[in-house]
Amino acid sequence: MAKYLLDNGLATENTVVYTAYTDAVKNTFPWFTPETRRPPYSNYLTNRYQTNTFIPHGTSISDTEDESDLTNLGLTHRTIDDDNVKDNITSHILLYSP
Amino acid sequence: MEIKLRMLLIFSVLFLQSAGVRGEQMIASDTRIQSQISHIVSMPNTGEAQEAILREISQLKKMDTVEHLLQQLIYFRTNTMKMYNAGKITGETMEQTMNMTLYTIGTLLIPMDDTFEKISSPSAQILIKSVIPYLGTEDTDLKKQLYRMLKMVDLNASGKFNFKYSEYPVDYSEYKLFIEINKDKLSEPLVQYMYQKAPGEALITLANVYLNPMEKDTVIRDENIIREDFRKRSHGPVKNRPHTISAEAKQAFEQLSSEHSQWWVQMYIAEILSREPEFSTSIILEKLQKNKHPLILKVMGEKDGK
Repeated sequence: MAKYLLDNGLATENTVVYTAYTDAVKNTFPWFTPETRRPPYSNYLTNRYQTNTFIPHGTSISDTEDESDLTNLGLTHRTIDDDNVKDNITSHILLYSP
Repeated sequence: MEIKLRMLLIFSVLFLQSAGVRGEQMIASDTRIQSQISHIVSMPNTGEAQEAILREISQLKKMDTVEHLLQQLIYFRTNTMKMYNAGKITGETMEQTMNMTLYTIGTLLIPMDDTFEKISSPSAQILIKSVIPYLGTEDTDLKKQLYRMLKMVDLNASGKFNFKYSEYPVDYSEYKLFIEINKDKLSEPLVQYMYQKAPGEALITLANVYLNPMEKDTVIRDENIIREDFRKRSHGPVKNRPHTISAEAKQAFEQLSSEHSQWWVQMYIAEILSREPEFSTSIILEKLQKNKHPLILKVMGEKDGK
């Protein structure tokens, strides 16, 4: 999304205030490689992931401000975007938006 | 996945086979391979099951050539979607089956490098070869799966978006190689796919293969002018964008239409008109309407809502 906005001149260095990954996987199918790149120009990155699901799952990212491995909560790729994680990310958006 | 569910998958694959999916260009089911794929997708999708899954995929790899296995996996995926659409399996089962078959496909293909952003050229050529015989199918479920496979060949993950001009950033270099090797038997369904996704790249690819250097240069120059016009009109805040096509782009479009009679150049004209009717003139339309190539008629029909 950040890349699309930048490619189309709809965002600049200072406008991508907050980004979040929820069990992020690269869009380079068919390998289901976990996403480890920071979104372009992102000022703040939240990363939530689990490894209970074999395919697909996210992973730890070195370049992030806020990261949690939710594997121990028993979440799967299908359930990780359920309400509690979503609410947690929404609260971060409110916290870091201008 | 439960045994009952696995039985349902096997039964349904056989049911669809016996039901005889219409359309000549349907992949023939190989029961032995379908059964092994069904076994793989039925395994628990957990970190602990990883080794067992990979063991079963190794067994599958021994059963036939990569090309044939890819076709069988596409067949399985098509039937999974048919079952899902018919309400015979849940969204969760469908999702797991599609993910697991896609993962299995991934194990048959070699990435270009450790970024895993692109398939290596030999794997891309095998994938194109496995898809081509069925690409003209009338079976929309099969066609969707075939198109999904081709997206793995042409998605340019680091390319720039230009949505109205191209569905997503593409790299058609593998199609160029395939078309060069099969220069005398151009696959029209492949051309149709290429134009649907990214008409500009399709035109450049075909011009590079079929035109002499001078004609190729003029086509590439005109296409670049049109591409840049699309980019400018969709780039940046809406209030700053030009709202009309530039005179230069209109002229380039008219030149392409009038100076090149190849059906695949006229196909570009038809595709661009369907995206941007403002390029239309009576002369361009008249020339297109005289062209009886079925693919051009199809685009023109869709454009007119027929």
